[in-house]
Amino acid sequence: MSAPKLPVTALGIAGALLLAASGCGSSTLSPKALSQESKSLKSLAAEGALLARDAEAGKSTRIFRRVHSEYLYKTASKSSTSLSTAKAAPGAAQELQKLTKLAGELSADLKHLGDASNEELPGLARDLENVAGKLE
Amino acid sequence: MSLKNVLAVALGILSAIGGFVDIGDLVFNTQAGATFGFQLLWVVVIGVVGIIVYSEMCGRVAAVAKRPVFDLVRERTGFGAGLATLVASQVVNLMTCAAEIGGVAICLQLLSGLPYRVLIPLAVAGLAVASWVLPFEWIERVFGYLGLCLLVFAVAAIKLHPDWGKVAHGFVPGSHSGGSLLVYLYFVVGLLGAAMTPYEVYFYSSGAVEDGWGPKELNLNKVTATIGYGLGGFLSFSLMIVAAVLFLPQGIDPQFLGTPALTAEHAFGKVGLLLALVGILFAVGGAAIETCFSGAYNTAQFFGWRWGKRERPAAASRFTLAWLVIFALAFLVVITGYDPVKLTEYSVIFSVVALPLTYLPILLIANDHTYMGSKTNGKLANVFGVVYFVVIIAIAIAAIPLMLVTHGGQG
Amino acid sequence: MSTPAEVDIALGILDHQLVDADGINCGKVDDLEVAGLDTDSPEIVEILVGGNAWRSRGLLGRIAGRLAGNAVHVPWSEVDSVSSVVKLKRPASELRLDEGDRRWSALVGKVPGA
Repeated sequence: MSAPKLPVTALGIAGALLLAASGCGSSTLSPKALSQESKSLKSLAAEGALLARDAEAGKSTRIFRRVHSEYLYKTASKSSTSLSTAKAAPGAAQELQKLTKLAGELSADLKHLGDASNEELPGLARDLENVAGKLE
Repeated sequence: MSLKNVLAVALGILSAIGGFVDIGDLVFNTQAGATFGFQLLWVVVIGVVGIIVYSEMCGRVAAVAKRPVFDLVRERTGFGAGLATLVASQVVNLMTCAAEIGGVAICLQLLSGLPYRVLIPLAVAGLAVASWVLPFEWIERVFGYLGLCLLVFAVAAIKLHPDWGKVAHGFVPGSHSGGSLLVYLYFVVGLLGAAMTPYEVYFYSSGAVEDGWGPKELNLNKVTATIGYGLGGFLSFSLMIVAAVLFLPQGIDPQFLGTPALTAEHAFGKVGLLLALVGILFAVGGAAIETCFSGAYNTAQFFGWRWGKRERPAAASRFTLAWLVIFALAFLVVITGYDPVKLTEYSVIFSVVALPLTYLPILLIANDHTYMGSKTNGKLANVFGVVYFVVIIAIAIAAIPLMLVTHGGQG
Repeated sequence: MSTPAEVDIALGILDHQLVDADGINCGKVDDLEVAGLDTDSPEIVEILVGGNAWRSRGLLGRIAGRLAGNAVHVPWSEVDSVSSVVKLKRPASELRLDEGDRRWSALVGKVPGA
């Protein structure tokens, strides 16, 4: 290969590596990435549960509950969407399946938390605590 | 000391306490508590002492030289260095101002339920009107006193029964027991950056000149800076402690501005929640005004324009335009919808990188006899000033690498 | 005619604050025009304020100067005293040093309470 072509090839390889690293195209989640995702979902579930328990005890305001749970919901929903279209690295397929299912449940619960009636709150709180418990 | 003097000092201290916390402190202290429990409390102490040391210098410069510190940067360090300092501090300032305004809008949303996008222009308009209409001391007072609602976090910290032995251990420097070391160091940098923001000391200096400080106020300066910021530091401790008690065990990672408020809500119910939200609103709102004016002061002082809230807006027209333009630019940043909490994380880290450039002139000028006469730094001030400057350089170098390696503290 | 001491002072007052007869800020000493530097009796001719006075102040100054208009020339004879600030003998308006604020004053003045 003549000298001037080498830098171009090197650039091409570097570019391809960068693209791969940036996860362009459908994302493949490694066990580490799945663990991060699981932590993040657990955080949302636990925070939702805390809010739900406070609301159940009459400690929160309707407005705060609605607005804050919506922020939680939007983040959970984004995770849920990206998980459902992601591919698992070899050996992580079962974990990905479990997370996708839990993310879906979590999103639904958080959406419901926004305008749940007082009677529905204890059940919602329990659901969210369960989801949090299943995630690590 | 007459009763009137004592009252004046007390009021000054109160508004310093209420004005100490801004969105950077809120985000970093809460996240630090939720990630490392009490292990980073000692860092807050170091940050608070740092800002006391440099604020005292800035106040002294203002009282003795009768000019704010930034006004002297250009003549002391030259046109090129002065301009570089101005540009760097303006970029960081703008990010910070935008983050604070975003914070105000979120607080208003959590209180009113109105949509975030609608509240952004309302927040900017409200802050601009307050800045235009209120005299300087009133801005400090209103935002400072209402920021005192944040004391609910201090009371909540007690009510939530932390393990006080562990809390005490957290004040031992370098106490790190478990968790990623790199993430720990990231929080060390972030907490110091959040406590020692340059806009605060520049604003303090210009404010002292606006208030007409002279050599008689030198002791007032020492007292206000020390007690005011010192007690303000207790608010930072509180934020970290309540997060450690309520969030760490549950694995809650605070990503939203409403998350800290949950601690006050959990401890005291609706009253606690409302006090927390109002406190955050005014602390962050006050900071938005301070960052905006700090930018306008710095610009006007670099170019030698007329400046100050004392002047009629039309007389110091370029200064007035400067702060209006900064609010407008910050508004544009916020309206993009970029998450203010993430913006805060970046603004704190970038202000750490700019810290040496912004703090070095302060140290130089406070030691310069031509401006300070006999009131240059004593041995104590210089020892602290130099030690802190070394710390500042270290964290400035480490800041961005740590942010990248830990993905913004996520590990 | 300026004494060597005066010239030293002048070179030392670059970037210092200019203040008019009423004590009002009117810019910084952005540049100095000194005649006869290579002779025994250099003379400070004038102070340059604002605008393209920054052209001679390094790279950043050249960029800044290109964006600005013409500098205002203030004859050295207008200087009353030199301390940490440079005090002038007359009000800024008489020396055309207040044009910056005056230009924008009309716009800012439109807001009530200005």
